[in-house]
Amino acid sequence: MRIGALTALLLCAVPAWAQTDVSDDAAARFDRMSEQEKAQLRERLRQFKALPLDEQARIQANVARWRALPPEEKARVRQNLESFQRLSPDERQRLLGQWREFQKLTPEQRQDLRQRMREYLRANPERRRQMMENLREWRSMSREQRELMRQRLREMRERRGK
Amino acid sequence: MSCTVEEELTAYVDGELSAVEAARVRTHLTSCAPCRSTEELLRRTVTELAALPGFEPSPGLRRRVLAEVESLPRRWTERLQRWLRPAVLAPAGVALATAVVVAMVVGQRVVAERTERGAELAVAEHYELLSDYEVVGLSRDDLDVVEHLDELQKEGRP
Repeated sequence: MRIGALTALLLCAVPAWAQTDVSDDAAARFDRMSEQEKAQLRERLRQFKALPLDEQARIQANVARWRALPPEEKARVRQNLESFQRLSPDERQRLLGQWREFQKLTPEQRQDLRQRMREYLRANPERRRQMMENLREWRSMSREQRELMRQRLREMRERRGK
Repeated sequence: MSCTVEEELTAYVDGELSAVEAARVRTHLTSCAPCRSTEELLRRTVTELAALPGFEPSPGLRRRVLAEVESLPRRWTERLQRWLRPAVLAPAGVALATAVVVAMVVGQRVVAERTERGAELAVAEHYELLSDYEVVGLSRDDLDVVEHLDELQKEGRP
């Protein structure tokens, strides 16, 4: 493979890593890969190139955003990724629907939610795992089940208030 | 070789003979070329074993040592078993174990690097969702419900 084409392959297939790894010696790096890795890279290039240009740009920008995150924020997003990857296809679809609904909130509402959750998790780091479990459970609940839980919370607060 | 000193050469090289015995062997070596050659081989072998790198024994060195051992007459091979003592084997074993550990660590790093790249791509694809993952699907009030959901569910159980 010609060096230029190879560099382009690496640059396009792995956009963010291209900014650091590829510049030194793309040919040597490619040569060191196993045949399986090379095949995966070519497949990744094919998939990436098949995306619309704006989607390619979005992914490139997201890699840059991800790389710029401070370690603790990276850890949080990584945990979220792990949770996301554990979801069943149905749960993912449901979550994506909720994501679209979330996008309809005003920026202030979204920021308020983020802030409240951040404060909760900061104050209860040991509860994070349970909170994520609760969240998954909540997302899978029907409208009626959710209403029941809201009712129970009100009752619980009344009892504790007395 | 029929020298009676031959059997004592390894102990001589290893400094295990008494002063008198060592002097006798030394005297013999001045007049016996085969024994001198043997002594030289033994010393070289020990030196090279001791010179094994701390982290990774050189494959070249290993090949050379093994080739020399292989080229020796059978009796020498058997004799060299005397060198397979803890005093000699321990450093070589430590070096080998270290090499294995280093290989494992490096291997894990390679795997971790690949995993990291896989994670980067997955994050990049869903970054917007993942960065707000904890609050997607929640309202302000429902966040309180989720906070206590495990307790609330227990309440409903008999």
